[in-house]
Amino acid sequence: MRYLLRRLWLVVLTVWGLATLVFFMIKAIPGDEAQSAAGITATPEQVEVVRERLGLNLPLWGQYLAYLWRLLHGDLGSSIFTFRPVTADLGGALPATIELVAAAVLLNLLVGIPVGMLAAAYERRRPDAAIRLGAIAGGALPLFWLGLILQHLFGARLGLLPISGTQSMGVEVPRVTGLATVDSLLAGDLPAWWDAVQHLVLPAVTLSVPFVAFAVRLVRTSMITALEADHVVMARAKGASPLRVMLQHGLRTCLGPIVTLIGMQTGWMIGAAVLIEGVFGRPGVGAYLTEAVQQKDTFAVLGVVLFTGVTVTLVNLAVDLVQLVSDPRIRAAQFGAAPLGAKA
Amino acid sequence: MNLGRSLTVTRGAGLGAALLAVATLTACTAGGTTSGKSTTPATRDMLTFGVDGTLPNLDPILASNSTVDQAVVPVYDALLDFSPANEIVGRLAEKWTVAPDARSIAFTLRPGVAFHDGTPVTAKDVAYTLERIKKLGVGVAESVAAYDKTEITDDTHFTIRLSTPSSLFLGALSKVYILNSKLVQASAGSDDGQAWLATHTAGSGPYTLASYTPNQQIKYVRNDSYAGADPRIAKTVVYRLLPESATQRDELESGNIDVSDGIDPIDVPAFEKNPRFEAVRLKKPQGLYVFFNTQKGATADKRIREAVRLAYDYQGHAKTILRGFGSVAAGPLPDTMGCRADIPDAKQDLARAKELVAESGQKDLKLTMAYQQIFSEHAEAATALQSALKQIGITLELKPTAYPNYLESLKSVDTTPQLALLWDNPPTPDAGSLLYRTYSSKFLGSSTNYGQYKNAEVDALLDKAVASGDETARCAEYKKVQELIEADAATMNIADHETVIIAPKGVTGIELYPAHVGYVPQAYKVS
Repeated sequence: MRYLLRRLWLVVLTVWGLATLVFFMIKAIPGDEAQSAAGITATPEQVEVVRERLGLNLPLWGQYLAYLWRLLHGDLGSSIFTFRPVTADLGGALPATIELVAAAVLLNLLVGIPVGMLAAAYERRRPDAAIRLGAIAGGALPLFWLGLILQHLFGARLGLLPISGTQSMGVEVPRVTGLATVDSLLAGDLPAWWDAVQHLVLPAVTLSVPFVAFAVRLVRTSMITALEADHVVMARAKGASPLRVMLQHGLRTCLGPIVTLIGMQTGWMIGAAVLIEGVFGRPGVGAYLTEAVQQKDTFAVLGVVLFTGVTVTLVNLAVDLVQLVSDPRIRAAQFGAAPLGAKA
Repeated sequence: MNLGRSLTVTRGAGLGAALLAVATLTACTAGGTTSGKSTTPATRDMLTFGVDGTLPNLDPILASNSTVDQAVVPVYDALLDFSPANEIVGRLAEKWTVAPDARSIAFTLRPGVAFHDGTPVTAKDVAYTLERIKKLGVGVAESVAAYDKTEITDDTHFTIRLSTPSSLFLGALSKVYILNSKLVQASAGSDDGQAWLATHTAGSGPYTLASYTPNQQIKYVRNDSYAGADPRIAKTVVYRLLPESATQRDELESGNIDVSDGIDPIDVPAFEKNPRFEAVRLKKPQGLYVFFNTQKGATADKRIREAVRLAYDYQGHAKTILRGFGSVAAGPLPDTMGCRADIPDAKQDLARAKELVAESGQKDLKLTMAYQQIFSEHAEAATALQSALKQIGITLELKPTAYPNYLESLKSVDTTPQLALLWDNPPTPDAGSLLYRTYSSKFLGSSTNYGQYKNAEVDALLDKAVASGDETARCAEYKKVQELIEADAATMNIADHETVIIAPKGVTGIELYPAHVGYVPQAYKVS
């Protein structure tokens, strides 16, 4: 429990540091927020009215403290462009991003790990060479370009998948979670669910490709090392099946770095999703952040950055906890020689 | 029209209805839009427009932003608008009279016009809308800064009083969309309805809002009780946010959107040959300019400014960089605007440019130009100018700059870039709206006098024109201003832009409405 509390305290410190850093970075960008909000040709009087209304007439430290105080109360402030609370804006934009990232993470797990294991199993043979080549190519492809190519090929040319959006015109389900796939299931509308899934395929594949490529290479390398360990040789000698050797003795040993990588990649994916959402016309935080940066919308930018930061921090925490539970070596390092939960 | 005397402009019911009809657009759409299936538009009940901006807010106070303007123009009416012929025409206003001193405008509303909830549009709604803009001071407030108060005579008669004489105010009303005051006040809260209007509408326009997903999609349904409703316009209009040109192209080809103005010029010929589509070229109220720092450094010397102007290959810009979707600029006003002086097209003359550099006595001259690298036209033009200047012995250093940073730099002559390459759009189609804010010394140190330009004669002419109700005289003064600016080589006017709208064959009414940079869907007739 003390370990958990210590980690949670670190999460709080990280979020505070992030909020502070981003706040001052935004303030350091040249350009007057009040002028941006009022318009470039607004009169000085109009700009001053807006400055006072937005609290920008306070000294910098005053603005910072007011921001932290609101943050403590769960208030991210209001956007200077949409005029709505940033939390409400994010509530509208986040589900689409979460859905996209979740789908890409799922693909990463379902493709990256098995393909990496396959390459390790066929080390230095043709399947391994082909997979390595594919992984290098996948890691080198620019996401933006890949998205356009996939949507042109599978959407416009072959007509197999939707080109953009989250659902087809005329397909509407009541918004509950904001995740089209989940809301259509909640509505019991299977055709709408299938439609939403189809809309998710190309953006999720595009987003996942470089991450899958990296995961494949890591899994392959880790597995090759693991399969050369003495206990694996012993297991083979004792007649364990190849599948059992791979899964129980190989994969389990190298789960630590794989879980760490997937966790880190989840955070990176949120950043990359900004680009993918633009290409595929999905209404996530990407479009919101783009508009916020262009408008120098401080609180909106802060809101998105904080969301990303908190997500990455929490994912890292979850990764650490998963490793703690699954890997006795880490438990021993954290709590001494006694296994987790053992009585002293 | 002569506004020298107290002028009454009357737009009778016929014109009003015609305008409303013009303002009522049509659309039709792909019949089936199932995923990725290539379908031919089977009905004209719906038109789906690809939008390459953002769709973040529906509050019409932000209509100074062209993306917001195109989102609200189907659902709201302004008192006035500009016709495709660049003339002011009435929408909610039936008559208006500009006082000779340009300090007030008397209006008569068209009778029998109602908001979407059936509430009649009255003078009280106009007053509420203008007072709200004045109080909040954002968006279109900059264009109607001269507003003082509204004096209401009765439900359909009122007079708008201005704090300073302003002939620009009338044109600026084309972006003041009238709100249903009763509805907004009932929903307002403590923020004058800003949060509510961000996602709801309170208008009287030819379409009503059916659904809105920020940054994804807006759906409108035709308002059949609209006065002067045009049955030829689409029953349903949808805006879909598709930021990428390539995505819009693919969605058009697949039949999932019907109309796009965001197609890359390189793809336009394919649509021109496609029998399903029509590619309509429209002039765009936008120009590309280089603004010189006219106050400080080498560019304070008119000979250097002129030399830079003469070095550039304008024809090459229009042909290669714009791929023919634009023309060589002729003066500081885009070619969509009225009151343009008779200024010849800009042209290259390297020999004369070299002479001017020599006359200036400058040797090994180095200049710096701010530009926005993210825009391909800017990046290509900057490189082309760099090469051109090398031929006349000037080294041009290119400095990528974000737009907010550039605006910040204009606060002082010392920080204003020697050259700055940027697009500029007139706030309204009135020539004075662009000339006044860009070339009057009243705006020195502000974010609109890009060149820190100061010329007493220009100032006097602009002040006189802005304070005058005589349109003919104003026009003459604006022309003289353009000639003076041109003689000063204050700016390098590079190109006027065109846009191409791809629409299904048979859709008509696709014209430029000069007050609106984006779509005006109530003009698209589908039958």
